[in-house]
Amino acid sequence: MAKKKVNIELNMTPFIGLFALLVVMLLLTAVWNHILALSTNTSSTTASDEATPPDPNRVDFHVTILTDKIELKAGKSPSSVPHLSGGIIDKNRMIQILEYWKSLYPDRSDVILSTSDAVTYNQLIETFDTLVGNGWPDVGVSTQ
Amino acid sequence: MDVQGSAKRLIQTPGYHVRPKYDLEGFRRKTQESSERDFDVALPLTSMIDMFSMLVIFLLLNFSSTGEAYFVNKDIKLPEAAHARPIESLPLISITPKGIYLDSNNKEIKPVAVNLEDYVMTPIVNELLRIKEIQDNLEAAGLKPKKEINLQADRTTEVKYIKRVMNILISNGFTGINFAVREIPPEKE
Repeated sequence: MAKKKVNIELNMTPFIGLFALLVVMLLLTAVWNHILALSTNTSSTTASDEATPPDPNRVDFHVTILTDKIELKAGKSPSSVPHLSGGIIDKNRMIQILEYWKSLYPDRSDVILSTSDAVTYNQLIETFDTLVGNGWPDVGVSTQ
Repeated sequence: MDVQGSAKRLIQTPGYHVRPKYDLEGFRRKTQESSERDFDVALPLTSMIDMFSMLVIFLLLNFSSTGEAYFVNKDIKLPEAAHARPIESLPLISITPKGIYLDSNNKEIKPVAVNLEDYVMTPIVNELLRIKEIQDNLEAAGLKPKKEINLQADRTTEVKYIKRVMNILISNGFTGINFAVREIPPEKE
């Protein structure tokens, strides 16, 4: 008995139609810039009409960015972290201090971030991001 | 062969008259065949499907159900951050070397621009008051509008300009400020 020749050919037409539609839909919904946001609530760094007297026992955390260093102050004890060469922030040293603060005050998460006028926006964001990523998400940016 | 006429005159119907010596048999067969031919044209689809697959995979990686929140100004190169949260579509203030711009998706708020060295920023203040008015109207209607502003600036911008804009925003009642940043790619962390 002669063998029958079987022609197996997949019909690609609906497959291509599906892909074409998928490409058009995905092109319309594609996001090319992944933009995120670091939020600050400036009400913690500005005076209000209903100001309450400051608690003398409360420790305030301040981080000040200067052109050559970052000063971290918890209460009355300041620490200084000089920038690395090229004006790069020494994140490792800064993280060590933040972790030390966290060990002393585990229930606190607010910090006030101040800068000198000559500091760049990139340095501000870098410091802000480091604070948020190391247990201090409530960052108030001072405008003074 | 039809034979007509008397035996004395033989008339033969003319037939194929090319003598065998000059007969092109193959050519003759082709010209005598039917003029309707079947053309079997098959496009090679393998490479097309391969291209489509790559395109779909690439676009799937860039897919976002929330869509683009807003477009970054072409004069601005945003700083990068690893611990930021997704941005929402809110009124946007852009600080560029050419000036300070306020823009919003709300058609009632018109885009305005001021000089970078402008301390007062009157056009921006006027639009901020308009935004505040709209938010108050929405609140009165029982809705809960977002009272935040997005702010974007180039990474090399001096903070003094940022502070200037922040002071204007705070003095007009906008205490929630979102700094727009670019997401750090995973391999850079």
